[in-house]
Amino acid sequence: MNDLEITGLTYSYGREAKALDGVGFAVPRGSIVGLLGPNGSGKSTLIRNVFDLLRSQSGTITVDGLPHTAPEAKRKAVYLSSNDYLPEFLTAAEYTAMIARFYGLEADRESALDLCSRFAMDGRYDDLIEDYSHGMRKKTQLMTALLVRRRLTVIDETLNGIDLEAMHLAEKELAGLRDDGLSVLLCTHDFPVLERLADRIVFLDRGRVVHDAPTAELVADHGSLDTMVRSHLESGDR
Amino acid sequence: MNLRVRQSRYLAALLLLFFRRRVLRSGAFRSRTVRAGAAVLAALLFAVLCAAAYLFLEPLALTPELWELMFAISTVSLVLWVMGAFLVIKVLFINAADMLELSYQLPVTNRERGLAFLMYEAAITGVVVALGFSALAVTSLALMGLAAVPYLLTAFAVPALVVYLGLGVLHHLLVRLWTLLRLGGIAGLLSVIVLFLLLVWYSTTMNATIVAITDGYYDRTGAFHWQTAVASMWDRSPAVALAVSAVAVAALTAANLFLTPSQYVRQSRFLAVFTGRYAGRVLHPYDYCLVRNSQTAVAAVIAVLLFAYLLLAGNGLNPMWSLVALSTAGLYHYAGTEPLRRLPSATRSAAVVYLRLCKGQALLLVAFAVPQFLIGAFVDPVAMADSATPVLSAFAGIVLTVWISVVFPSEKNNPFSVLLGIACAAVMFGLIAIGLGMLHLPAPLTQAVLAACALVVAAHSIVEIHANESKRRNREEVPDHRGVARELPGDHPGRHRGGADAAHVLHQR
Repeated sequence: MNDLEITGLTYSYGREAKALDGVGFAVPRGSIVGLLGPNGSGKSTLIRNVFDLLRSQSGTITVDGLPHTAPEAKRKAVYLSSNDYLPEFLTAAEYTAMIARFYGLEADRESALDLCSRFAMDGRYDDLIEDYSHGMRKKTQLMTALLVRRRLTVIDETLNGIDLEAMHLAEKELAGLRDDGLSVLLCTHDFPVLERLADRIVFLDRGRVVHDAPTAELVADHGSLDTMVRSHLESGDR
Repeated sequence: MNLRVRQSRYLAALLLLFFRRRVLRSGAFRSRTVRAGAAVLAALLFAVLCAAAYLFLEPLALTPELWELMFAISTVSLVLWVMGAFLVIKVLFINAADMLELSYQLPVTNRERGLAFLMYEAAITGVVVALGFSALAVTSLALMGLAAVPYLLTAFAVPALVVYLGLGVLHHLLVRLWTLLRLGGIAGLLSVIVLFLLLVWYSTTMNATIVAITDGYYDRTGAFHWQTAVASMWDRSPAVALAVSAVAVAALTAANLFLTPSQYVRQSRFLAVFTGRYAGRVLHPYDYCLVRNSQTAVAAVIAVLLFAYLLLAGNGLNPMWSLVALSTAGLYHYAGTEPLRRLPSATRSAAVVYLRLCKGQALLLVAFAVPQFLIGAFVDPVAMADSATPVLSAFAGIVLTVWISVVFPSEKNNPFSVLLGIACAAVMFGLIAIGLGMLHLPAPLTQAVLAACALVVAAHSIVEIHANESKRRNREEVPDHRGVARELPGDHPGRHRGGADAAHVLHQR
């Protein structure tokens, strides 16, 4: 069973700029799949198609077997965007409660405060997000996703910009999601994190899937993900 | 239909919080004193209007049969008022899609997002209509007591609702039509133009309708007029009137929900005009922001249509008054040009920024005023007499719209700030106009007072620009200070090319 399944996804900006060209891959249940690729490779476009923020022009996307545009599919996935544009006029507590309400849940304040403390945000849960630093906003996004615990968590470079301690904790928490049988699609440029965390890697370039294989296999073949990406970018195959 | 009303309601609640905590706390409204002062002024204006309505209507209290006629005539005006409010809200919401970024991480479908915005448009239109007729409603209740309720229901509430919902259905159908014709990218703009034509047509029929209703009342012929259909039904059977009204409202609401487009339409915020090399010699980047804005295109088309109508209708109003419509193009100009002021090499004094904001609009105005005047002088020289007053008023409109855009800066192009600014300007200048009217000052003195007001408004705009820019620079230079926003709107990579398509998620067109 796949929590996310994409087949033949194509998306173009205008007539010539093809951002995605027949992309297909799956995120199996209870796994972490790393999505990587250079800037402009189509990673964010792909994620926005998954969440129907861009209308897919061809291909199919299913979330837990449901069409991605269905309200039920919306309830099964949580999206952490690459930017930190959160409602600054809310406190983190209000933001978390609001997100939970959208999913038909009730935010557990004790769990939230515990997460806040572990992410080094003690005493800031009831402060306006307006007063948060860039890193704190990212942590707030992450904490909210960890609290609502959806079948599929999609992280679009959200981990960029958080400190090492928080990153270490985030890795543990994401692994915890997997242990609970939930899935994560993790888009990041942090290769060591992907090598430690991801079960599979999907490598996109110029809107096409270059590699879709288990992380261990790719590391064994290329030495590291960094080497794999560099050798591809420097090769004449592009 | 992929629609959960509850999700839309939650999103609407989020937007309401945005309004309360951001819009009502930004610009001039940062100060509690200003907020309190604005509330007092609004209450004062409302009291003055109620008093005027009371004085006007009190003699009618002795002749209750005249109430029916007065409400019938008011309904005819109400339809125009609803059309105008609907049109203004649609124009202001054309660029509102940026606000949607707040909802990108929420588990809602595009149709649910669209419904949340429709709820806001409906609520704001409702408030505008209610404000327009509240003085009359309060006075009616004061003079007639509960006997006024059926009149208010059949002459105001139900007709306003039905007309609004009907316009909503028409707007949806128009958007679908433009999409079929491969004009989806400018569907909002084209629909607004059609609605404006409809408004002009209706305004031309209003006088005749009012005369016919009045004649019918005195002749006891009781000819049917669609505007007063609900009141006519009520006269025959209140139960039938209520039932038919409920069915009509339910059917139109369902039609609005059903017609919320599900196909993709990309709404252009800027139009690729003035791209030639010559334009670059005349236009500054500030001017490009204005002349390429889709709302400027709406204002320009409306100004031209209004000019043609006033010139050909020959109703005694100088056609150059159409230029006032152009002033609305500047309502988002200050917020729209913020990225230019954030460029490191672009630091300029507040006065220079102000002049740049005004220059583009002044050029636009001149570009329309000269050919319009020449055409008007050729077609109907008499109608063009005393064109100085409307042209000067249009220039004064620039001062006012720049003031609104500066004092009520529209974060993320949200239309609420602009609406709040328009409301404040309406209250202030409404009171000034009433005051001048009561004082009966000589014309030169009245003109001097108005000129002084314009100067004060311009000076206040410059002071606010200075304050806004100082605060912005402070935010950027003090990066990790508590209480200071770290990253500004527009800094996020996802909002540039490759970002989510706001038109798609708003309208799922």
